[in-house]
Amino acid sequence: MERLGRLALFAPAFVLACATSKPPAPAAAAAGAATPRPSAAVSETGTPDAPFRQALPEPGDPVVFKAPVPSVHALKNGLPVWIVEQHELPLATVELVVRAGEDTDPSGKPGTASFVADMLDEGTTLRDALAIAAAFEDQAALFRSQADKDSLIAAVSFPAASLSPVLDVFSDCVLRPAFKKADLERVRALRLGDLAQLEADPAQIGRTVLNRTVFGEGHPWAFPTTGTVASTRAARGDQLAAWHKAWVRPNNAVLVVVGDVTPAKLLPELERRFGGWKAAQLPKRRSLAPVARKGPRVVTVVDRPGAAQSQLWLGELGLSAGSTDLYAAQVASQVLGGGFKSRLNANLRSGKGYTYGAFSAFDVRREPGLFAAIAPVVANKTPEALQELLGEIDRLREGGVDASELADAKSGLIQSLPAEFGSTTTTALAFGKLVALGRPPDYFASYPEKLAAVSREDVAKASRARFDTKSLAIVVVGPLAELRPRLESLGLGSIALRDATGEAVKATRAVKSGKTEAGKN
Amino acid sequence: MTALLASVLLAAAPPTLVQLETYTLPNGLTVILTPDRRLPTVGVNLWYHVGGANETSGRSGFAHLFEHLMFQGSKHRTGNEQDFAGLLEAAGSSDLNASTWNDRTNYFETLPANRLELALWLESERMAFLLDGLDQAKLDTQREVVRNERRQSVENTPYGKAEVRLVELLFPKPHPYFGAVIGSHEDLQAATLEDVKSFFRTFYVPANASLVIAGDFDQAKARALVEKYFGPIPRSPRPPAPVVNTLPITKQIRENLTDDVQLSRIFVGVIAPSAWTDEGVAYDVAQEILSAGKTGRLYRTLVFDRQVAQEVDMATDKSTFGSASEIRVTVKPGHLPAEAEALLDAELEKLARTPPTDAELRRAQRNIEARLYRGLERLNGNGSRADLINALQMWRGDPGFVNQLVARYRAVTPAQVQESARRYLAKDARVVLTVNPAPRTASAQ
Repeated sequence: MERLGRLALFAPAFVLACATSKPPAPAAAAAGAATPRPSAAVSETGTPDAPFRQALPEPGDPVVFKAPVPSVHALKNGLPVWIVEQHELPLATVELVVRAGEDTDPSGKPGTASFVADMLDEGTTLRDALAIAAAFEDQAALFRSQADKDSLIAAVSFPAASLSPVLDVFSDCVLRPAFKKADLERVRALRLGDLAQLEADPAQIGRTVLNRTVFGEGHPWAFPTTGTVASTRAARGDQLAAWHKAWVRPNNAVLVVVGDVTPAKLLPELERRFGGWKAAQLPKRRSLAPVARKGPRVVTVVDRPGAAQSQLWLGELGLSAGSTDLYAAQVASQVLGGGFKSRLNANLRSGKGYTYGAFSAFDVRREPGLFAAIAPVVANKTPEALQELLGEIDRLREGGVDASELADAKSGLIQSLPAEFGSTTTTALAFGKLVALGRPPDYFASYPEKLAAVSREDVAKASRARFDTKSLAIVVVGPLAELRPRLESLGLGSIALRDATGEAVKATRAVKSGKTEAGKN
Repeated sequence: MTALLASVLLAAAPPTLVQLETYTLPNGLTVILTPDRRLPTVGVNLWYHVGGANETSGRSGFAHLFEHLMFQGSKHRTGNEQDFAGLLEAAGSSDLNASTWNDRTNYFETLPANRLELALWLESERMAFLLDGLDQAKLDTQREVVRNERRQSVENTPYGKAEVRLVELLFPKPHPYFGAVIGSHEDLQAATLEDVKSFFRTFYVPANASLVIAGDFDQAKARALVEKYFGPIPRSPRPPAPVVNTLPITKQIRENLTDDVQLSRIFVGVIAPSAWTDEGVAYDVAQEILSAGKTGRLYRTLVFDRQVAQEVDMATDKSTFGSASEIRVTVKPGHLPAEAEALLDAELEKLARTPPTDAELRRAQRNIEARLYRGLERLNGNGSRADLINALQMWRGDPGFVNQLVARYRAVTPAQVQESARRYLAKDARVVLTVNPAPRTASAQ
């Protein structure tokens, strides 16, 4: 109920695209950064100094954490059910993960999967939208559904005692959406409003334009998840229903259930509601091979006349779940920009004060997703900040990471793992992500081991293979007039103007649009 | 504890939700232990009862700037924020952050259960030895960081400027909430190292703080560690509470802004009851009935039935000297703010005139209750179990109030909800700030 933004030390809410990725976790250097000063016996506050204050306390007995492993079941129609029992609290979350998202949007129809996700609780063949909302909210159940790059997720979180009535409505939503005309038009208008708002948010613009630049024209991931204004206007109910019928199938989904439930009670309830859902041959999947960028590197600029900040979004094609250097590359990115302590944040924030926070991360998908390094920086330091970002990426490519950086990154990632399972919702998200990536249900149990095995050589090799500033896409969302001559003088490439959706802007229009003429400096 | 909690949703009368051990050190530091062994992690959550309300004239934004300096090293660790945060991250922290609001500043970190001592070492280090490690360069860097935070969250974010303006209209000068917690560039620029020292000496004293330890720990060992690290910090007087006169709004205040946005948005602000007062409980229920989910009256009317709004939400910032409560209505393309505002007026008027139905009230109570459990499920961080306990310690002087919340919300009557709407959401008590898109020289589409 309290929402007006608190002012935090930093904003770790850097999520590239997916709803499930945890805010990037740690990287660090525990020892050595500080040398104690010659100590006065008493502090400024009058607190006596003491030897135990001068060194960091040692850890206590090792913590044994066994990551949960779901019990795996199957309904008669083949639908896999993963159950993680957590009986301490009377809460539960049910999450259906379908392995189809933007990647299955029909060519020329971006936003299809996301539109379907939006329609799930907007009317079924049995219930209208208001009845659905009332049924969930009467049980204090929270429903949400969304598509991302390669999955569609529908989830409901509720007091465990409400299992039966909640499953009635939930199964109806995911199995029998009706896509009725009136509901479709209502939701279409909302989606057009959402798209309009994306175009006014500099961070969203950075994301949109970087995706378009990295994946290339025509690639399903080149568009915002919602699609485009044109595709949203053109979407038809029968097409959405066809997508739903084709992809939302028990042989393309897993049901994850977390919380105060038991298989003995749960499975018959699920069988009753999902048992009639039929498997079917899935359509052929589109190619997700990125469209190669051609020609010399350019610096893509989206003009925001007068903006106080520039959004810097640098990116490249990244990792898939099957990448052989997956863990090494993630450790490398962790050191570069994964946590509060990172090279990017140390340089651009803590060192130079150009930004409130600089980050980098891989968005791991079944097919290679995005790698991005991001910093919103004070406008008049845009060229300097861009150079620092590129310099840090070069340094990683050329020198890898040192031993303490490696140890801290690994230790931080491994030891913060329990936090993934702090609530039924986050636990369901974590296992849902495994489903989306095609990982096994016991993935988290072996995760620490796999991460611990990463060596400095592995990281060095991954860094050389993954980070190349010569091919990196560079997007700047900022005040063009002030920046143009200074960006050009960096010699990174010519400036290519795009609009907030990533559409190329003709030079004449750009001059007319901003204060370009006035900004000769 | 968890076994007790497990029965709550089924029970007719709510039993004890959360197990608490509360005590005070001789130096005045309040300590609250709340075990929860679901995971092998432990959360430390430290509230200082200081925020924007304690700033002096010409120093808006200072409490928050100060919060940043609390990460910039101290006597025994002279490195900057990278070193402080890095220590915790390498140890496996989650929920690592700090935040500043009108009346309080909180610092929190969650660590593996065997690193409680590290968190206590760090929190006591900055409470006792901060000034021994601070210098002008550290202040200057964080000043730039915070000014960038302002650029990012206010100037370069859609509707960001309106959020600040709304607070100014609700709490005109010399009210200390004026100007919002982020403050102005000018005031941030003016802050000196002397300001930092004096602020620290006045407000960052044990008697003005409360420490919650939540999670998997041994209570006797935790008490001993708290004594070891915080016990030796000398007592200093509790700072005097700010003297604040919050003037009620008796005649509607209206203003229009233009900003670089795509859709018009109406901000309706009122001054809701102060944090965690008895009046606030009924107001929370009124808010729930108006704005929660898709059954909330505002969504139902403005978004679903009449389709004039893109989205509607309502939120209240619980604060000591009156809580800013705002309703935000984003107007759909092709509709006028006036249409949306008329419908909003009618809904608020309706709740002020007629009590909600029993079914509506019960739904609101169930959802508030479920949200409470979801909050308690989260160990640490803003809005978590540890944070709620600290909030109730600060505003009720009683962390055990957490165990009365369910009963309090269940006891609210339809008449109380109606009365709360009538009193706090009255037309004359509102600030109405409308943000319209600036004319664009070149449209993106």
